[in-house]
Amino acid sequence: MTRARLEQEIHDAAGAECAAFVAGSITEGYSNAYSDLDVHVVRDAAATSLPLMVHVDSCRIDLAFHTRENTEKALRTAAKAPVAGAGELTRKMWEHKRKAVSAASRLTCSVPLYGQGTPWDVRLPAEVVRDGAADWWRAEARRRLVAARLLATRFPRVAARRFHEAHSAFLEVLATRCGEDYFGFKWLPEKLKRLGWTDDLAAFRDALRQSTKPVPDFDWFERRIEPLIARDQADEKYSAVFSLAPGVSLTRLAGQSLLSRWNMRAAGLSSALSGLVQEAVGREDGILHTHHDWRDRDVPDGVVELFSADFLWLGVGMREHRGR
Amino acid sequence: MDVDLHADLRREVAFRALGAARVLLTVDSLLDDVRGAAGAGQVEVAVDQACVVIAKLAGIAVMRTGGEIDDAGDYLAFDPYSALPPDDAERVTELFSLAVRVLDGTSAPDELTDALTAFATDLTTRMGYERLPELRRAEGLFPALRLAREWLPVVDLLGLPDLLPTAWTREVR
Repeated sequence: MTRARLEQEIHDAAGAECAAFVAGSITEGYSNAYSDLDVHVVRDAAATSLPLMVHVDSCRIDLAFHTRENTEKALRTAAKAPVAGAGELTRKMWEHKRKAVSAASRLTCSVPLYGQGTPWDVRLPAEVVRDGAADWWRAEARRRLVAARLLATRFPRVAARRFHEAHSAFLEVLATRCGEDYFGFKWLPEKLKRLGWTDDLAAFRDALRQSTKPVPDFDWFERRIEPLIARDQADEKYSAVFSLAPGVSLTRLAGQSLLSRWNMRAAGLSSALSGLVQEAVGREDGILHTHHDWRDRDVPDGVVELFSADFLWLGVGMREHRGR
Repeated sequence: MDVDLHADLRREVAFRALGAARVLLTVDSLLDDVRGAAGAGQVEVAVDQACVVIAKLAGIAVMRTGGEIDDAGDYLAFDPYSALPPDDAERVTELFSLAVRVLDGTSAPDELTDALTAFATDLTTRMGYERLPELRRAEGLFPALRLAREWLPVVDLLGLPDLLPTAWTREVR
C-alpha cells in the first residue's frame, strides 16, 4: 500500500469535493503489525455513518465519512472547556463530549491526504484541541476515582481496575499538556516512554500489577494519585452526579418499589429511597443525586448501594468554572 | 443430552446474541491489540489490554449466570466477577496471574494470548456456535451481518440492550 494508491482509492470513492486525513496510531508512531489505518473523509454530505472496513492489499483501513457541518459542530464542542460547562454531567453529555474530543484529536493529529486548506479542512489548532482533551481527562480521572472509592469495600476487584484507570487518566492529563495529545487510554505507556517519564512508567506498571489482585492495596493508589492532582495545578471544583443508568425501570408491587435493569435484575427499595428514585424517573436527565464536592466521601448509603449494584451512572459536574 | 434447560430465556438470548456480538465487535479487536503490542515489545500496552480482555470475557460469562448484561465501558460499577461460576472464577484468577508474569518477563506473551483466545473460544462454544466470523478479516463481514440479522428481531422483541453500535443503525443525515 503506497500513499499514491491510497489517495487514488479514496478519491475514487469520495470524489474531489472533500478533504481526507490519515489518523491513528500509525501516524502517531505507536503502531505495530496489527494496527490499521484510520482514514477520515470530510464532505458536505456523508456517504454513510457506518465506519467501513476496507482491505487494500494486506492493509486494513477503517474508513469514516463525516459531514463538514457535523464535524465543525463536534470540534466546537471539543474546544469548549470544561467538560460539563457549568452544569451536571449526564451520560448523554459525556458521550457527546467524548466523541467530540476524540474526533478533534484524530483530525488534529492526522496527516492530510488531500484537501488541505480547502473548506473541508476543518481542523483546529493543536493547542485548542489539547486544552479540550486535558479537560476531558481531568473530569474522567475524577469520575473513575470517585467510583473506585465507592466500590472498594463491596467489589475490591472492580475498584482496583477503577483506581488503575483513574491513575492512568491523571497521567493522561499531564501527558496531554506536554504534547502527547493523541486521545485514548491504550497508548499511555508509550507516551510515558516518549516523554522520558521513567518514574511514572514504573508507577503505571505497579498500578497495573495492583489492579490484577483480588484484594489490592488501595492506600498505594491514594498515595500515588494525590501528587498527580497537585502536579496538574488545576483548581476546578467538581461535583459527583448520579443519574439512572440506561435500561432502569421502576415498578410498584404490593406497596413496595422494585427497581430493575433491562427487566432482569431487580432490587427492592426502602420507602425513603423509593421516593428519591421516583423523582429521578420523572426527570428528563434522570439525575438522582448530586454530591456537591467530589472529594467528600460521605455519599448517602442508598446512593452508594444503587451505584454499586450498577443501577446508576456516575458523572461529574462543574461547581465553579474559572474560565480559560 | 437431548434437552438443555435454561431458567431464563432473556438471559440465554442475551448471552448468545449480545455475548457473541461483544466477541465480534470488541474482544477480537482487543485480542489483536494484545498480539500487536506484544509483538512490538510494547509489553505494558499488551498486558493492560489483556486485563481489559479478561474483564470483557468474564462479563460475557456472567450474562448467563446472574450478572448485569449491559457492560458499556463507561458504566463504572459493572461487575464481571461476582456472578462467575467457580471454574470461570478460577480461570480469571489464573489469567490475571499470567498477565503479571508477562509484565515481569517471566512468561511469554504468546502464552497469554493463547490462554485468552482459549477462554473466548470456550465461551463461543457455550453460546452454541462452532466458530464466530472474524469481523476484522476481509472474509468475516458478510457472515457477521447474517448473524446480526438473525439476532436483531429477538433482541428487539425481548427489550434487551442494543446489539450494534448506534453509528451502525443511525440514519445518515
